[in-house]
Amino acid sequence: MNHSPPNFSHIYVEERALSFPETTMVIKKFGSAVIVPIRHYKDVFNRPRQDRRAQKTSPNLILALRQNNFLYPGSCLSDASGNNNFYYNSLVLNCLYDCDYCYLQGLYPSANMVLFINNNDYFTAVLKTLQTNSPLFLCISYETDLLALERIFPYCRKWIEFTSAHPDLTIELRTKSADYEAIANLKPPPNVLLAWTLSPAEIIARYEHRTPALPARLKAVRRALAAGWQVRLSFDPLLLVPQWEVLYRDFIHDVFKNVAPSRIKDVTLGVFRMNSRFLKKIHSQRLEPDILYYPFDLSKRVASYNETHKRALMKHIYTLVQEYLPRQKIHQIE
Amino acid sequence: MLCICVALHCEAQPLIEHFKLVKDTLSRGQALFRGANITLIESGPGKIKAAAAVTRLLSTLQSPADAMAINFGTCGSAQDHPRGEVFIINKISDASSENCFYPDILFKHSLPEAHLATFEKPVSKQDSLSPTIQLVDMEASGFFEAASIFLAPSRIACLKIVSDNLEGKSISNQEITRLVRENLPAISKAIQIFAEANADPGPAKRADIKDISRRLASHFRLTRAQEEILYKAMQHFAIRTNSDLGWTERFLENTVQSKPEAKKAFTALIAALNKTAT
Repeated sequence: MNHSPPNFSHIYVEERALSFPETTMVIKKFGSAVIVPIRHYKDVFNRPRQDRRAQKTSPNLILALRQNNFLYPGSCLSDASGNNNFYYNSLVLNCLYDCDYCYLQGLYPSANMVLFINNNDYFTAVLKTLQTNSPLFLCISYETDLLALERIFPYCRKWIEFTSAHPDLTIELRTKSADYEAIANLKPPPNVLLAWTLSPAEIIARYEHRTPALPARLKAVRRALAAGWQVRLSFDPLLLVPQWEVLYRDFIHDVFKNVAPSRIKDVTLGVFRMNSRFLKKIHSQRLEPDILYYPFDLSKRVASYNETHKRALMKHIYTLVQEYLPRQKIHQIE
Repeated sequence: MLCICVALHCEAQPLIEHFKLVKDTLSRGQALFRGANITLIESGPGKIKAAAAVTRLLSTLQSPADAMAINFGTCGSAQDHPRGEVFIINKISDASSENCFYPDILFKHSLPEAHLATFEKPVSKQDSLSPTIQLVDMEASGFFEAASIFLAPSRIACLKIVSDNLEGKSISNQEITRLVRENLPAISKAIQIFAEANADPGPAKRADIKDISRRLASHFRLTRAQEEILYKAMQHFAIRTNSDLGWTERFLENTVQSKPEAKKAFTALIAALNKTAT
């Protein structure tokens, strides 16, 4: 499996970030990239009328310093898994992968990736929040895939090391990456949760562009479990595709044939859902894929399948997973 | 449609010949030259004229968002680049407003890239320029800002050829034409690559769906809003099922006498389009 990062043709760097050693470190990895100094990342990222689909064919990198909003309270559409002080952060805007169902297409005006390199300021913000909100559950790979980016900027390594020193902080690192090797030499702390998003191979091939294949992800899961990491499996989003019953049945059996269920911390299940504003924006940008053109039901500004389909899909997968895991280890995201 | 905006005729002449463009003699004001899917406009010097020229071209197009616009012309080098060197501009700063503009360079090319600053009047080495400025001109910022009203930043490009090193000497028109002509292979290749990279237009309304939805809308005397809902439902159905919409024509067989009947037929049609199989 090739884990080398894509070849960014341009790297836009905030002028105030130019002197940071982290900037030098990233730039060094892309020797042929053109460096363009900019005043603020929004000058490039928030330009009007950007063509996201065209940009996705040749995404560029933006290196910036985050000045505020180091932590956000968790969204109602995400998976809190019973954690009260549930927060997420945005270390990176956008993702190396190109999943057709991804809400980032509607959230951000650009497909370019913003990397906030002042990671230490995020740590300071977490420490401050811990003083009033403890214990804290933090998703650090929420609007991106940090493990996929580890060869460009070692966010995962830095956060795992930071978290291991703060037992009242638990972080979830959600990923589709198979690059377990990038963190393989770290000691697994009990308060770091590696969460792999898995989908049937047919769905990966058709809708999760540039992501590792299912066997590669399962291999990464097995390696993490063998090393003693806490591992969560996320079957999310569940998609209503032709032959979905057979597809998901074979997939769930395949997953648990490869991964010992008793070693898994838990599983989260979520049916496809998206902020209706984001979906509308995606529809204005692209006339495919088929999965985004289902006649969705709108409820509280969230687009999802109608209740009948939603329930059928969830019930089917839940029943399949229940063959391997007890109920208390299966979390359904409403 | 590729729109090329050039300040002076002496800069444009080699491009007009290369792309076999013909002068639009009916056009008044800034001179227009047309060819197969290319229009070149001679804006005259200065960013206001460049903005007016590109706006004039793009605003007359039926779907301007699918067009491309390129500003070509000479520039001065603040860093002693050799005369005749051709650059693709990755950052344009406006010296007066201090605004910066960033074209999206998503196409692969072999030319050097540079930061260009647009000034309102000619500058020379005696003027203290920021050390980050590599090239200077008098049009790019106006061109880019105006083109951005219509186009994605990946559909706008600036291509500049160095004519001087800000010595403050004037250059003859013949000399500029010679310089452009000598470097025409690099210039025309960059224009071609840019045009090919943006050849694919954005999502467009499908003519076949538009035709059926219009006929149904007329048959049922639907409002504009209802017609738009119908078009979207038909488009979503076609994308979701990858099938044609010929079957919806049977709804044309239903005659309606009143508004409630039309509404009923419209509702039935939308329900049929939104029907899904598990």
